[in-house]
Amino acid sequence: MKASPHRQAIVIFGIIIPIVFIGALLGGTFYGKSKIAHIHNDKVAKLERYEAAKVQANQLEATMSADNRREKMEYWNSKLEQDFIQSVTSNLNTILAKFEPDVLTRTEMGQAPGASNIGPKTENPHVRIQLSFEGGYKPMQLLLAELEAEMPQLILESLSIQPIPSKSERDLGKLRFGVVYLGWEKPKA
Amino acid sequence: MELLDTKANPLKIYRQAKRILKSTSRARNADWYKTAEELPLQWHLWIGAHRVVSAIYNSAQNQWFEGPQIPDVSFDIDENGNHTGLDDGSRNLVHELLRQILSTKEFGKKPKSLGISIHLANDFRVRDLAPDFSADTDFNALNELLVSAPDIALGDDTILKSDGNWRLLPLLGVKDSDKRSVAVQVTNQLELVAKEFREYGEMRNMPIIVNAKAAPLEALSALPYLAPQFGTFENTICLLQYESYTVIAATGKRGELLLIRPLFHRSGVSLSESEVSDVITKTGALLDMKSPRILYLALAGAGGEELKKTLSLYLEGNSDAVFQCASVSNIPITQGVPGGLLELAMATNPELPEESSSATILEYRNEWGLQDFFGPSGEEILRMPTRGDLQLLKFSGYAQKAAILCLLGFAGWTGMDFFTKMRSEAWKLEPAAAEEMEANLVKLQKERIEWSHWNNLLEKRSEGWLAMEALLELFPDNGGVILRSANYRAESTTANERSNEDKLGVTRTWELSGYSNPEVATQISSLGSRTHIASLLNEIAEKNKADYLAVGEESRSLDVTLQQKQASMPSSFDFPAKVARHFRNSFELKIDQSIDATDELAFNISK
Repeated sequence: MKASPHRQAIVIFGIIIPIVFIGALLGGTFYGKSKIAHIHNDKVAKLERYEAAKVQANQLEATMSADNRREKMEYWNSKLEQDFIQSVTSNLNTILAKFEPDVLTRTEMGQAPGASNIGPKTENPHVRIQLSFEGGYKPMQLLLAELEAEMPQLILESLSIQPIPSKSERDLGKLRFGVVYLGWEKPKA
Repeated sequence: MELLDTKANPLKIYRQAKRILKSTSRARNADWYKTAEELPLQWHLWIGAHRVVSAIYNSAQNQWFEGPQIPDVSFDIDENGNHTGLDDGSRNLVHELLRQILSTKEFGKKPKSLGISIHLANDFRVRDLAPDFSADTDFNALNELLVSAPDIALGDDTILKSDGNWRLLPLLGVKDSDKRSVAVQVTNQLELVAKEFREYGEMRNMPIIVNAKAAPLEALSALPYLAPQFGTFENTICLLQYESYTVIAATGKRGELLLIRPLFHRSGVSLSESEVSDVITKTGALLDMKSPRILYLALAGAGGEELKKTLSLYLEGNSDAVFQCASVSNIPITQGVPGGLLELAMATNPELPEESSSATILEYRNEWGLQDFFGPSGEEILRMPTRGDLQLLKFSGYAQKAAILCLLGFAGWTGMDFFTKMRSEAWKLEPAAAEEMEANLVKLQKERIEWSHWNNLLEKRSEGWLAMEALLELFPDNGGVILRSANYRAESTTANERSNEDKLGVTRTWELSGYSNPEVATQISSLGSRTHIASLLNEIAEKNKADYLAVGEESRSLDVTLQQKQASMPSSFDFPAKVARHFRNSFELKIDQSIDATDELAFNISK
């Protein structure tokens, strides 16, 4: 008995091809759904990263915005970016110009000898400067106050005050001041 | 119905099957695939040489009715003179006849199908097959060849299809013989009418099943009903008498069919006595049957006595012969059957007598004796889808619809899911937003670290102006003290001295020396008091908003050392002797103020 050609045709066109076709569509749809789910999962993960970063960024922004910290940083940067020696020189000249030479005068300025006791331990770049002055106590205190206000990166390492023996009325009350400052510098890029 | 060839394009065959499923009831109604005698309402047409018997049988009620007569029909003829079909008038007559049978309730309930069984007793011919096929035992293949190409199967080019339809009759039970089957032919005069019957059914979408059978073969397969006392019919010569011919069939020692052929009546309605005697004698001699049993049956009206008279000449010479002469109209199973016809009686499917156990005869009964001579060939049958095919197609259609629904549902669900996801906050986020925010975070963290670094480094810890201010607070004007020298220094405490290695403490030291006037500087001794100095430093810190000078917390410590002794201050231009002589005491004061690594003002060591 020969096989029914109808059975063969029905199996091919009524079962196998529809199964393959519908299977392909189902597979395609399933693939699309998986792809969408994958993309969505990526997006959700990105959103979570975004949210987490946003929370931290907001906290940091609040931290940096508090107490004018950002403005302080800008101010510090503006000071730190200047050349230290030039800045000290310039500021001292400006301040000393306010005093008569017999009231307060700078007698010495240069790199401080020896090593700093503070700077090297922080590993932050720094420079030390030694200054000597002669003059009155109050003018000297005013000078130091103005200089330290203009240069927040200064730390006083040492200060010595010695009276200068007078030889005339004009020299009465004069003192000799020795000052060593440590100045912080920005690391070079 | 025009059907595609079995070798046609499978897609076209599939479309054809779908069309048949859609436009016919073949998948729903199993009657399309039954034989005529399996249907509840049957129209039996017995076609004899001189008469036609028409009867309708309701099998559910086991009731016979007189049937309508077939109208005289005329045919359309092609250019070669062949009949191509009924002419319009005849077709209308046939259709009207069927319409009346199917619409009336005269034969029981209104039928849903009709079986038309045509019993052809008007003509019967037997021929041997071509020698190439005569010994072939693949009877089904041989029968198919005989149906489709009788000229090849018979080895005779002069055979015309219009002469009649051929079917195979295997000589069942025969072994070791060159002849294993013969070809049987009946007239096909009614084939176009049968075709018209079928076409009417297809037109009305109602199963009208037409089967045409050779009456002698039906009788052969019904022998156990006719003469049960013959048992397995071994060594028997059967004479089956019809109106215009008598069929002689002979069986061997095991009941196997050895011979079958028609003997046409040359005069009258039966063979003559001498013809009967002669044919039995010669057949017996031919088949080497010494004393064959004789079964002489009248299947078209003659009585048993007439048959016995015809057989008398043979019996005179063979007085001890075992024989039976009978008319089938007188046996029990034909009682009540129109015309007393055996072929119609067999439609009632009577029980087989227990005495008969001939497997050979039973096989004729089940297959070869009931062949449809007007039926399609095997190849033509394959052109029509089976009920199983159509049900499979129907099921596949349902399955396809269900699968498409599932697919649409799944696609819809996926679409909804996609739509929902697209509306989510995550989907709306710009692709680079997370990276930008993280970059911003990194920038802010860097800024925060930088700020912490510089805020720590630039915190006020040691200022010149305040160191000088502290001296003024310690030794106010006109306090009776003249300072000889004043030194101040700020140093870090080494990291390994402290538990916190990431931090660095600071120590500020004042070393002061000078002279005091004991009459005026009465409180100088209090400078040796740690408490006094601490109080003074706290006041200075508070007054000048310089917290780093304050002491008192755990992380801060203070050491004070004061040494005094009597000594006269040497006079000078600045301090003449009249002034200097009042400063009779010298002193040395050392103040160490430390903040350790745990203090908030400690340096961060790490960069």
